[in-house]
Amino acid sequence: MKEQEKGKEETEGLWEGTYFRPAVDILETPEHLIIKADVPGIGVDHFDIDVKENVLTLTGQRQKLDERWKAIHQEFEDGHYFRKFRLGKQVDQSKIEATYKEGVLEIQIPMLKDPEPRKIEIRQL
Amino acid sequence: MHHALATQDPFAQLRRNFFGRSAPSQSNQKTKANLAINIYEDENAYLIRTRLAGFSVEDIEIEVVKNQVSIRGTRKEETSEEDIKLHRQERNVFTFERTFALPETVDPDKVRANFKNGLLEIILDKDEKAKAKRIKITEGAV
Repeated sequence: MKEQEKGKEETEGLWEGTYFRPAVDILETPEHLIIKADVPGIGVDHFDIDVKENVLTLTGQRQKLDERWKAIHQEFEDGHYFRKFRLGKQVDQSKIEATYKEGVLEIQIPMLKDPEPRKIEIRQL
Repeated sequence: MHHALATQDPFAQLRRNFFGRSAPSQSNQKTKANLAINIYEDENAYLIRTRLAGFSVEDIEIEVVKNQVSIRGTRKEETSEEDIKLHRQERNVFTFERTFALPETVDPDKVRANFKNGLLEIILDKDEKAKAKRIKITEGAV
């Protein structure tokens, strides 16, 4: 499994602790642009998807493990998730939907239909 | 109660295996992953946590023998329709296998595993019989 690299924009995080850049697949169907992000261990209420100035920001807040558990061997850090995506003009940023299943967050962004080419009539003066 | 973790580190080999291997490539090839695990303990049990986003309960197999734990699994590839364009593929783990040893024997009958939101948690009770007993020393004649 690909070890998560630390998010470059670490300092922008809202919460205390480490931030990771989740692995994603980005797919395009005729109707949607789909982002699938591996963000395991986060409750559905602890995500934040925000679109501002053509940038989609995904954050996920890690939930703390009960304090009685003492770490004796750690290969991955328990951190928050953070990643930004630049959106093009071909998508409808106002109609973004997201679902979460088995640790995978799927963000669906509708594609804008190609506007009909408008024929300009020229009047003979 | 403390086991001799510092003197005979049972994870030394495991750590070498894990870090000695090169990181999986970012290509589209299916990677047989070396699963990253975290191990915690409290007085009575061990907790193993591992991240398996995109897997479902039926895809995962856990085996416990004495103090050895094996976790393996394969996830189905998501069916892709013909008119899908793939812009980026970083989620390339489809199959994994990992075997490691815990510092103490655990009771195989008391293993609980829970899978939620792509996070696998296994709680293994330390074996009462295997626990080191503290011998009380009395003074004077026996």
